[in-house]
Amino acid sequence: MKIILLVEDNPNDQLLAIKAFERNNKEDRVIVAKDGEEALDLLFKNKISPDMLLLDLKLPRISGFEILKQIRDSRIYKTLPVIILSTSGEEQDLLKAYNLGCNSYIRKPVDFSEFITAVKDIRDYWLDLNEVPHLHA
Amino acid sequence: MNKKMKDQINHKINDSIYEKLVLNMNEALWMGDKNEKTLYANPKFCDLVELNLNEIIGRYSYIFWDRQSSKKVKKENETKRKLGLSSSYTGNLLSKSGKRIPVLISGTSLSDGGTIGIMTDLRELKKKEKKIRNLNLNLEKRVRERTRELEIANRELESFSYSVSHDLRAPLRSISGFSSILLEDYGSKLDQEAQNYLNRIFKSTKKLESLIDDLLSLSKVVRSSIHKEIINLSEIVTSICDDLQLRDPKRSVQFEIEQNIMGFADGRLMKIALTNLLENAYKYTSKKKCAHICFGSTTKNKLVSYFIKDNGVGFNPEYKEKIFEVFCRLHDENEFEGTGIGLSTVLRIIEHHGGKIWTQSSLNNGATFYFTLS
Repeated sequence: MKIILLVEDNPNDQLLAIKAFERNNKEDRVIVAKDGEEALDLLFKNKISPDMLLLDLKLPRISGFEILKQIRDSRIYKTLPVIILSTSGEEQDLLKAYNLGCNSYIRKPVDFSEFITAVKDIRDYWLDLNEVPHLHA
Repeated sequence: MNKKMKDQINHKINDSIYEKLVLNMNEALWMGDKNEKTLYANPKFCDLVELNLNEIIGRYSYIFWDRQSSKKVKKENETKRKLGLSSSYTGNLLSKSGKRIPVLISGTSLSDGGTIGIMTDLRELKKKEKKIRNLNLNLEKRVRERTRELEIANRELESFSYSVSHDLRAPLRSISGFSSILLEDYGSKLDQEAQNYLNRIFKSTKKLESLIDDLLSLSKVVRSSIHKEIINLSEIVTSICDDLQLRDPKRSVQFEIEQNIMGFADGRLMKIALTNLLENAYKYTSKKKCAHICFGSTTKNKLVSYFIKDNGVGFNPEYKEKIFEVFCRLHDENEFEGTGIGLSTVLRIIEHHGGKIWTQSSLNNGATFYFTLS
């Protein structure tokens, strides 16, 4: 079983992401943080140690970029696979996210079957690898 | 009348003409000997320096100028006048009360070594010059202000279309996602009619998604700055056609691409324009058994026109202008899908380059889109 932390403020998008993971692997456990504060609490106070983080960029108060920066600045989550899941397909957002150290960037598709495929791809790549490649070594 | 009498009359006439000219001319006239001592000055000169003729006669010319102009006059006299040359330059006369009067000086040497200077008062001209300069400065300031306002408006528009495209997508994702979950997970519990309704909802979300994407692309084109360079349009066309062929390998489309057609244009924008034109050609030839799409160029009066030609369904030439309007569609939605934004985007890109686009077509006889880049 893999633990996925989903940071997403839109309840519909939360449910769609959970459903997309269900479609791929019933074993996965998706924990939802509805904003940045909750995500940072879960990561640094409750130390839930997820196997993967799915991060929306447009969040209330603390943006996805800020969360990504704090994660990459921390010792324990330096190598945690972080997948951006955003509505934005703007080049500057992509560049900023990659510069801050995200591992993948998915533009939230409107088509649910495309979303399932995207989730399968990132899951296969980042969670079924024996060794997660080290970032910022 | 004998010759002597004639000469006397001529002399008189000449003398009186010169006299009238010198006394009444609007220019100041000064005459000096070879040592630059004043021999004569006309009333206009006296006016400018605020001295009467008696105070002027016999005085060195240099005292009538401010320090800098005095040096200039001296230099001109020593270099040009000694050689018998004339010259024009500017300087400032200095009046008795200390006023500096800007003048244009035209100096000429006389055969006995003396000089004549004619001075044109430049005060009015300078005043006007200053006025024009101020007007220009004001204009520049206003242009700067307007540019700033436009930049702000542009930024607002940018963030508006960004928000619209993003915020519209979120509910769309929900409608699309949950209707497909309903279909997949509960389809068996729904009768055919209910399934049909869900399918319609699902298809509409697809359509709305294309609309949002195309509108976003259009607004980006309108706002984007242009970076022109020499590019190989044939290579861009080839790569787009390769992608189109991969889209539906079962379709047989013959692409004819004239090689190495170069253009001075923005590569990124041209890719968007050519993609739209080629996708259209691909779409509207879909009902042809032997579809044929061609890219080439022609030259007329030294102006290069590029074209994309297809043998598809074409359109009624009555609509050849209308076809570039946003949301304009000439075919039935069920027959050919589309948002009606693509050709507006192409038009804007071509106009952005300073080029023109036009089309030739008739119903059921294919269409050709021509464009220029300057």
